[in-house]
Amino acid sequence: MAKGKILVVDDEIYIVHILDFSLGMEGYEVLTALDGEQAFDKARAEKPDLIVLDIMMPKLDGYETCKLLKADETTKHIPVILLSAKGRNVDQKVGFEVGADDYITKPFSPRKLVERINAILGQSSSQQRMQA
Amino acid sequence: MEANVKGASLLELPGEALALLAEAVLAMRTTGDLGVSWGIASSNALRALNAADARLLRLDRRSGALFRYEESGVETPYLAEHGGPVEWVMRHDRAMFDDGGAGPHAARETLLWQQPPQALVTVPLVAGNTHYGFLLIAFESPRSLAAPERLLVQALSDALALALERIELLRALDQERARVGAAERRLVTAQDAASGLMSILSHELRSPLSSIKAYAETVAANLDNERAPRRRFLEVIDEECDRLSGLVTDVQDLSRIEGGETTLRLTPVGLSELGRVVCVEHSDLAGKRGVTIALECDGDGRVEVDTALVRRVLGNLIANAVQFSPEGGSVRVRFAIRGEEWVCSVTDDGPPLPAEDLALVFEGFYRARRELPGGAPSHEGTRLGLAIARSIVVLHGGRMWAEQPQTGEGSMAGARFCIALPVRQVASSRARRIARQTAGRADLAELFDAIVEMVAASLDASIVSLILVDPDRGDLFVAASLGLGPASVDGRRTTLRSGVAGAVAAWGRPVLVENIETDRRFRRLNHPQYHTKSLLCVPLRVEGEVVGVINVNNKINGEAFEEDDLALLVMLTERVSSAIERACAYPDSRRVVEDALEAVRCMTRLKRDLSLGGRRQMKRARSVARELGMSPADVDVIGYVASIHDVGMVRLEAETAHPGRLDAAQRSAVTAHPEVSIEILRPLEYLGVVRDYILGHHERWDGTGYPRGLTGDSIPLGSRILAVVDAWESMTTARPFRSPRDPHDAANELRREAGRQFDEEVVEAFLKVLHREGELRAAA
Repeated sequence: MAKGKILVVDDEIYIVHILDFSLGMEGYEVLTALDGEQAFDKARAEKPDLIVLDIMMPKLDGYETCKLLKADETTKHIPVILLSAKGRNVDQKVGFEVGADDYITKPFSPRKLVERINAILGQSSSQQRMQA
Repeated sequence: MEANVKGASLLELPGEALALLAEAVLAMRTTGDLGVSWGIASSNALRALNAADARLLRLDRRSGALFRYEESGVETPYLAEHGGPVEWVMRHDRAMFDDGGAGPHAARETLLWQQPPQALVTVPLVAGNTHYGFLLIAFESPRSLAAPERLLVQALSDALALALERIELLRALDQERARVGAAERRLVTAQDAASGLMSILSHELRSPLSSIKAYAETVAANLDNERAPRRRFLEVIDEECDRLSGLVTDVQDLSRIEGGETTLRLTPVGLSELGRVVCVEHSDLAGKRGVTIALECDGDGRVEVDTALVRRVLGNLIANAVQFSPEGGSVRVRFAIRGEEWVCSVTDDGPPLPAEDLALVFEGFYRARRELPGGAPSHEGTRLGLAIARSIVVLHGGRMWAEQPQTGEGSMAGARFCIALPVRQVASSRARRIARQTAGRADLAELFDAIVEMVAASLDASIVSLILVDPDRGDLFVAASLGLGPASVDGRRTTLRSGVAGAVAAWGRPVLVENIETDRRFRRLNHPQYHTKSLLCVPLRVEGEVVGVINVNNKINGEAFEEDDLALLVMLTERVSSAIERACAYPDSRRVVEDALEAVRCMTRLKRDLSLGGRRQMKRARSVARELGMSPADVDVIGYVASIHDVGMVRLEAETAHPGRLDAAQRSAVTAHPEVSIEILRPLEYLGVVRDYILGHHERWDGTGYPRGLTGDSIPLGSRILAVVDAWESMTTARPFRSPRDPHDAANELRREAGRQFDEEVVEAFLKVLHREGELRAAA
């Protein structure tokens, strides 16, 4: 039995592959999407337990996707971790404004991302974590 | 009447006078305000010397006019009295102490005072070698100054001159600061643009880095994990390292090309041959994706390109097209020669390129919004590819654009990328042969330096460069320049076809650019070194071959250049060309170049030192010629002659060093100046009409002029125009001993002299021009 269902969204296919492997080894079921539109559709259809979302993507970028997810009744409770090469404070601020629950900058360590996911899913409320 | 202060000492002054002097000097040292300095200097001088009144006359060094300076800072023009003390002091360059012995009615600059002074001290204010004005101290009764008192006046004058100098320097410093400030602001803008690129670049660099880090960590954590595809992970790391290093190379290439560090290695190559090579190169890649490449050549011929760089451009376009094509699709590569250009277009039938992206695709890191077939991301090349391609094309003097191909049914599909490059790049063999004759001649190098200075002075420009064909490589280099930093001159070369200079050399036509940023012929960013975005560029022809260009930027008053300026530059350049032509024809004669050098230097001094033949005069003379219906070629000649006809005055100026009234010998020298002008210009001039106009510009309509005493229509029309334009300029410009006339007054003078000194018709045309310029109100 899987620990949970994670949706990984990135237009960099290699990043999707390595997260698929790492989270799979950790016992998660992994869904993937290569752009924001695909991600939104899959999130509504599959109701994942957490979404890892890249910011710089064609079509719908990570911010826009996150806003859509947080505005939709069926997906707004799903924790979102933003993942981006942008590492400046202003990006983090925007990330939280659109309702993201956590933020990790590239280049990142897959092990730390897995730890972060474990922590979020192990806690009852992602809001408490944000305020900490 | 002169100061005799030998053996005198300031210490002989009464204590109170010394204290007043010390206070004044100290105050002037510490303030940058002329009003305050003058207020303290004058009131203390009056008290120390028991004088009635004092005046400060400031000499404006640009115009040569005198101004009466008031403590309030208000200045009013002042005309020195004829034969008066100011004129005497200026001529003899030393102080004059008029003790009243000359009587109560001697010339004492009466207009300056409420009561006519009975004794007067007039002192020149000189700091370094510069004359800043005069200090005048008036007494109510005859008064002879004792030696220590003269020392006191001298000390005050010195301090006042220093104060004037400091104020002038402060003003210059302020202007310089403003310029530095403007330069800083431009720099910040450039840095902003650069940091925009940096932020995109850092994102682009982090993508492969992210993969490398994630995969490396995962491999390390799974060394003993049989289920982990460790070999595949290592392959990904290897691939991403390649991508990263490709990206770094591309960034380096782009900055080298855009920074002007790349020079083209030009070789002639057959166009169809070039097409075949690049298509074969990419057929494997296309085959793997089930895409076919179709090559079509419309005409063939040899073109001059840097083969390696152009293959890179074409390869990039073809690889992109293949990448976006659906399986079974085709990429059409078409080559054609159209006149002076060759064109290549690469068309695919992938998804359409959004219309709003057509102009954006060549910006660095443009992210294609076209969908790749199957949504698969691709790592073929980096997103800098198109930006690099474009900079290579621009370096060749070509253009690059994207368009939406129209299919037969009018439906939108696919995309087309096109480049157009000039067929011929390097200078012709004749031009290179001529360039070889001029290269390395020290006397010509000196002439070139003098030429850029002359052009700058003639057009009020602060940046001028003379660019020549390099005989060995056929490209262009800066042979002489003014106002360019050494970094932009050293080793800066340009292909004949790239940049404005290259384009003008290739087209062989003069160009006026009002704004380089919006000019469609050369859309590019303004170089921050140039304050204005306006420029002139004129080809330099020797024996009919373009051997270089003269480039003029950055007009001093900041306005854009106009057609009048371009016409003058063309005329000047033609004279310069003829001098170079002669130097090539008589390679062993030093004299030819020396004479031309002297002529060019005199032209510079005419504008710099005498402020004669300025752009305003040139423009007015042209307007009058147009008003009188002269042909465009004649208008150009008039404008040129208006700019240089007084060049003989440069030599006279050297002989009559002091301005002011002329004695008989000087007067006869002045009447000879038209002939002297012609003599000076001889090495540059080949048009008889130019000589005729110059020679006749002091003839009078009624026959009382010089040198030949011609009358009426027998005076060339050009000379009659110059006579009126000159008279106006001289009446309305301030000189040390003559205040400028009010325009309406001057216009009346012209009307009065019409039919006597001037041609009536020319005066009418001139007044019309002045009305149009707004110089005269319509009612007048």
